[in-house]
Parts: sequence; C-alpha cells; structure tokens
Amino acid sequence: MDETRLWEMLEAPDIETRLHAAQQLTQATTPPLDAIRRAMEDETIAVRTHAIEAAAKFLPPEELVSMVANQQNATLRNAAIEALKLSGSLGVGALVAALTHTDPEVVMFAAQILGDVKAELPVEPLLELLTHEDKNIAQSAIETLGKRRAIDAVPALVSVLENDFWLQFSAITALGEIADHRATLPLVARLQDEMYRGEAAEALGKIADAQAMTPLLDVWREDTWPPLRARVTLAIARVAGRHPETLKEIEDRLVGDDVSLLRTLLSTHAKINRSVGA
Amino acid sequence: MPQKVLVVEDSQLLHRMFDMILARGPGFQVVHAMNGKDGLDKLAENPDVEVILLDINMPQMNGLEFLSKIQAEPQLRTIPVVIVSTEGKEEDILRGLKAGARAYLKKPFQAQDLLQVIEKVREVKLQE
Repeated sequence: MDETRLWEMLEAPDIETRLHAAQQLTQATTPPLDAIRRAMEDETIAVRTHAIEAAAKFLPPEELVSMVANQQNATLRNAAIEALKLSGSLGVGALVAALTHTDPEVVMFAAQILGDVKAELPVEPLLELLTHEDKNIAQSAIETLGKRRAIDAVPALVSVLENDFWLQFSAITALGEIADHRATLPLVARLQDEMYRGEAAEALGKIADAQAMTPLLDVWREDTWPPLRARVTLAIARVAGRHPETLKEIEDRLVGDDVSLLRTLLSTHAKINRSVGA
Repeated sequence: MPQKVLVVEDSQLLHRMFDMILARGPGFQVVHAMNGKDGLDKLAENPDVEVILLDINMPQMNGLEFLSKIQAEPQLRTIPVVIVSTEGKEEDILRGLKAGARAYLKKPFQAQDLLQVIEKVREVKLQE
C-alpha cells in the first residue's frame, strides 16, 4: 500500500479504516516505522493491538525501551511494554541492558517484561536486583525468577524470606513456581504466620515434598477459614498424589469428623482430576 | 453481605496479595480484573462494588483510560477509585487525582496503609 494512503487511513476518524491500516502494518515486509509509532498511540485498543504486533517485529528493541521510559504517555509506555513481551529473543539484549538503566521505573518494567518474554534469559542480572533498595524493582525480579522457574535462584529467594511483607510474599510465590525441594522447610516455617499461610501452603503443594504433609495437616486442623482450607486441601492432595504413603498421617494428626471430612475432600479432588485427565 | 472491592491490576501476584489483605481480616469480597477493559466488564457484572483499587500500567486499557471511561458514566463515577501504583512522583499523583481518583497509594504498601485508605474513601463517600 502507498505510504501516503496508509497515513491518511491511520488519521481517519472511523475505527474500521484505522484498524485496516494497522493490519497492513503487520502484513507489510517493510512498513513505515513512523506509522507504527503513530498507531501505537491510537485511542482504540484493537488498532493498538495490531501496532504492537508490528512494533515487536520492526521497531528496534532499544527504541521500545526508550518508550517505556516515557512517563508522560501511559498509552505509548504500555504499548511498548507489550511489544517487548512479544519481541522474543530479539528484545532480550535491550531488556537485560535496561536492568541497569538510570530510571528505576525502566529497571522495574524491564525486570517484569523479562518474565513474559519467550526466550532464554541470563539469571545473574536478575539475582543482582534481589537486594535493590527499591522494593518494587526487587519484587519484579523475584516475580520474574519465579515465572522463569529459575532453579539457580532458589538459595537467593530463600534468603529473601527474611525480608518485609512485600518481598517475602513474592518470594514464597516464586519458590512455589520453581518447586524445588530446598525450599520446603523454609516454606513450612511460613505456615506459622497467618499473612503468608495460604501462599506458603500453595507453594508447598506445588513442591509436593513428603516432609510438608504433617505441617499441612496441622494447619488444616488449626485454621478453619474456608478459603484457606480450600488451598491447604489442594496442597495436601498434591503431596498425597506424589507420596500416597503420607495419607496415613491423616489419622495421626486429625481426630473425629475431621478425618472423614478431609478424606472426602481428597477423594473429590482425585475424582475431579481423573475426570479432567490431570 | 461483605462489601465488594474491585481490584484492577495486571499482576497475578498482586491480586493474591490484595486477597490476603482484604479478604481475611476485614472480610471484603474481592473482585478481580486484569486490565481496564476487564475492569469495565466486572463493574457491569458487579454494580454493587464500593471501592476500586486501580493500577496505571496495564495492557490493553490502562488505568487512566479506565478512569476516563468510568468518569463518563454517571452511575459509575461515584464509586471511589484509589490508584495503587509504583509511579509515586507528585506529577503522577496529580495526574491521577485530576483524572478522577479519590486517593493515591504508592507501591510497596503495608497492609495497614491499604486498609486505611479504603476506609478513608468510603467515609468520604458516605458524607457526600
């Protein structure tokens, strides 16, 4: 399509015309880059979605990072963030470089985006952010290490469990995502605190270490808040699924109606899992 | 009936934090939305939402776009909105308040800060 015509279409008042032009941007082999930049700021989500796809393919990742640094334009910033997530291995170099950017918000966004990029990543630059003085940056790095299931990050994430609420909560979740046995006992210790109990129970269920069964049963008995019990029941089901021999501990730790109630819940879980082929 | 709080936020992790802080002690019912567009859908399904906690940087429809949409709807603009964002400079706060938010809470926040700001905007709304 002629470039002048494309610009006219991107400036058109009706959405359909702008949408058609944005689709052209994704299909062209060498689309005009300024047109992509313009469409990334369009007021209509569908137009922006096509422009983001084109930006991921055609705009230099370094330029997308500089758009992330634009604090005055939330629409452009968010479009650039989404484009970088789609950029795959093309964007990794610019994003890793952005982890040492002078603007802390850019560092935070780069750390977050790396969690969603479909490409191999170096873990070391993210580990260095775990002790960053800006808690939002440290939290973003923790979340990304969890999403990437970075097994090398387990010892560092365990040490974050001694930190404040914001980072500790994030580290518990990340350790559950990574599901490494080295985190079992530190997470069992977090079951003592009401604020972290549900998250720690869920993480322990994902790790499914036999050592977690007794403490999970104790929490199930002691804390009867229904949303918490649902999460602990699922965690117990996961541990029992991996270690059926631990089920005998139910009779050791629970008494009376609790035994039959938990057995019924576990049986229901197993039936649901079978029916969905899990 | 527990009071409903709508959380519009793109981080799954933060949704879990909000759940932990709001659902257990104070007993709020938390309604979750992953971006502004999802937030508008959830508001349509939950017209009894009492407070909205809103992030700014989100995919598809960002927080400021969401705010401008609800400000244009007479039945929605009375719901107090608290922006909860990493962007904490004075200009960011002013931009959010000018767009119609009632309060601004910077991340990272403590559980008590969140509960206090919700209580404050609800009190102000009751006095109006």
